[in-house]
Amino acid sequence: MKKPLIIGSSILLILLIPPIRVYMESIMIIHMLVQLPLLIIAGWFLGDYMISKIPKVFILSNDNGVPGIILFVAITMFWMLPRTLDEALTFPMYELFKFVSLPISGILLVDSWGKINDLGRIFIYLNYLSMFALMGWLYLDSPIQICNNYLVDQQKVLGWGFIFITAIMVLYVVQYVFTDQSELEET
Amino acid sequence: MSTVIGNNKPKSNNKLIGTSLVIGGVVIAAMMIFGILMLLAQGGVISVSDAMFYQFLTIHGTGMIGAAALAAAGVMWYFLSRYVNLSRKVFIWFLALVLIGVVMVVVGVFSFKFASAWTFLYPLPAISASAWGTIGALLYLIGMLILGTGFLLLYIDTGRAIIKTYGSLGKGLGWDVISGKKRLEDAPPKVVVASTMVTIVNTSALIAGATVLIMNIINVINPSFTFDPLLAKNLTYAFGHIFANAIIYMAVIVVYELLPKYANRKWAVTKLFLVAWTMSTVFTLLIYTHHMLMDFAMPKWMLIMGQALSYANGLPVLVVTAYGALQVVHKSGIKWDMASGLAFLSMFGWTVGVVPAIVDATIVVNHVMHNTKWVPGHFHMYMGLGAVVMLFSFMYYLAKIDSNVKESKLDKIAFWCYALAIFSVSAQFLVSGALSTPRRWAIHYPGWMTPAVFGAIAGVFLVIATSIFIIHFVRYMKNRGTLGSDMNEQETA
Amino acid sequence: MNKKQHNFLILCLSIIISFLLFYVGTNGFQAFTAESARVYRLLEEKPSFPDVTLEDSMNRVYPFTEFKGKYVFLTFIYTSCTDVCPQLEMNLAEVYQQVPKELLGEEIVFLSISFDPERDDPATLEKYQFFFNSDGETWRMARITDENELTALLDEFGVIVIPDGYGGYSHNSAFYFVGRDGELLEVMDYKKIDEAAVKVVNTLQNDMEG
Repeated sequence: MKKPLIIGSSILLILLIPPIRVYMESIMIIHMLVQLPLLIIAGWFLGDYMISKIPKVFILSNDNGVPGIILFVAITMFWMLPRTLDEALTFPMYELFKFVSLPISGILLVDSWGKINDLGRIFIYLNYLSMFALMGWLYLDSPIQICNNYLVDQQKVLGWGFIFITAIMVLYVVQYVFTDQSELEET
Repeated sequence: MSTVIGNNKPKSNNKLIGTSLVIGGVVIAAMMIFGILMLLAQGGVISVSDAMFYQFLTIHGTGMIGAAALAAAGVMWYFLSRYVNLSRKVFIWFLALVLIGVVMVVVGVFSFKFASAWTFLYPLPAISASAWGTIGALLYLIGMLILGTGFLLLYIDTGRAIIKTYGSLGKGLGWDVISGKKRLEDAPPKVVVASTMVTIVNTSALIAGATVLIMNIINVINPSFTFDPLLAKNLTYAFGHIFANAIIYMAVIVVYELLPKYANRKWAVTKLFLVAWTMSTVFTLLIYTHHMLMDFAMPKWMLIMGQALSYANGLPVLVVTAYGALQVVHKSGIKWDMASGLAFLSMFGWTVGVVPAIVDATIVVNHVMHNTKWVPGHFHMYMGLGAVVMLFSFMYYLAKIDSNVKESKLDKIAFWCYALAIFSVSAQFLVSGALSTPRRWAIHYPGWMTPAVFGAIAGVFLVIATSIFIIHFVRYMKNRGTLGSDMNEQETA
Repeated sequence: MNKKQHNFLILCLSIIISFLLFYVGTNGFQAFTAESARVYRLLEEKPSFPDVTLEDSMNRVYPFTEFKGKYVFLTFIYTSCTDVCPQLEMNLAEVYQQVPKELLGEEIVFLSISFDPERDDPATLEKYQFFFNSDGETWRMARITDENELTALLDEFGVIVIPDGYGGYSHNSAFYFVGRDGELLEVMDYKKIDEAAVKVVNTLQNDMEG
């Protein structure tokens, strides 16, 4: 199956095309909530392919999925710091690190998500839920300009973006816990 | 559905549960001592520096809520594990994380003088007028975060297990029975209903709590990141109120399990029971706004909702529980001992404790009363005479069915001593409230002092009684499993 | 090595890597925003003030080296700014007042540099000066007319200026303290007035004694 390889690498290549890259990074919300997630998704597909090719490496390095998920959380949290988004625009090294670390986090995610148990998954999910809510709050409420490269207006838009994602995540939890899950598990 | 599944080793679980109760009990007793010290200081008997007073206030509140929640979670886990498959490993993690959190909080408060009360209202942790530094605030806030993570893990596990066995949290609350899709006989047992309710409200509370705690941490580290204080207050109370409130809904499970066994009667789940628990689930999530009745900037509808729902909040569950308990006990020839006596006392305490709460939840009264000692009066009665008594009841229950440790005369004396003492402590607060004594003041005018001194004396008896309860339970922990009681395995109604 | 130990080792490794990522990425948990990182970097590099030509409110034109031998305490502003600049200048005025009179102009010069040379001509600057009781001598307000010189300065001192699309600019603000030879000594939080004033006065007094 080469399909995941093709999908993953084409997403990555499209994101690398200079005009597309520059355009995406010129708008804060697209930078944070479209480009960064797409990089992770590209990694997800690449990881899918790599696991089928070299399963041994993943078993050796990430047997129970916990180290992988810890690194995934660390990398994604790192890119949520107000500073990193800014620096990626100013320093080419940062930009390079972004295009390397986020696909790697995607590879780690696809490998780890299947390995950790329900409890871990729910915990990670709820963690991101409160983290996104907080990010939304931070960007909406901050009287000061948090990033040097983006205007306060853009900051507000991003804040609402985070709140929107949080709301969707909450709705998903609510529908999950209140609809019957027993039949699904039997099939 | 009510078949006993899951845990095949209830006896070895008892050690784990016992540990949570011993820690909870000992911390509660220790916190009572800080309570006495504060009352003595307010009564002018001893002199405590203002800074020290607020450290006491912080540790007293945090410790009491944390310890009671820890022990109550143990009670819930004990009974719930008979119906669904809970993970022992998670419970061990829970205990470990809570302990780490408690140690950090204690160090933050006593070594680094953090004293913003357990409500840590933003932006107080960062702006303390140099009363405490960044390290103290960070230790406290991160300690609370770790403690909360422990609880969150536990509730994720209960939620996961309930969904696995019953299909969904809605079914755990018995919604398909309410809607008539399922017969009443197949309704989930009371333990599951109560646990589902607590899982829902506390998971929500903990997520709100995590958000506001991390927000405070960011603000402490980098004060130029500021946040909307009103939203912060909303989230803080959405966390604090719900979490504190849920303690009694976990602890009450012991009443459901214990009274039918003692009275040898069935306490069947009725539709009314299910509806009541669903209503309380919703109300508990919404009524925290009664903490904001004095914040004029809040939207009016939220405040009105806070008032209206506060009236309604405790009542549904309280009424079905109190009424059910009376029905089960009435003319049953029940054998009264420490466990059943405490269970019954707790129902009395819960009922009586709700009254001052409802008075305070009235906007007009709240404006005058909320910053007086009336409010501590309410929650000392509600927690001390309600929730905590349920925990003690469980301690005696577990000792009885799992060991040959006998109750003595001393325990009976402690029972009455406890009841009178906590009643006096609460009454003292209520009287002070009626005298307009402000709450959270380190120093009192002479006119306010007498009730405080009275409360401190009552507090001493309270500590003695509590110690006797705990000593009994520790004796049980040392003699665990010396009695193969059939009550342990017997299926509950 | 058994499997359990192996997994534990990798777990530790992943935690260490995560920690390092944040440690390095925030300069040891010091700088969480690009602004704080910028200040951090400036203090490491200690760039010296590039050679620019100033035109001040009194129509005088001179190079920055005119201030050689004196300390310079400066801010970057534009006069049509409606949000942060007035506050920045008010705070600068308070620092100015805390410096002993006899040192002003002799040992230290206060300077507000406009990065909007089109609108901020000497006449406009003179008007602006009036609002903050700046005398135009010991506290000067000036623009840099040469586009290239201005860009070089802003780059060197890490000042980021973005047009907001409504005729204004969005920019970062701070107090800059420059030494006798034009080297950058300190970048200070413009909200911490007293802290900045103490620092300046102490530096001057130490210098005079030494």
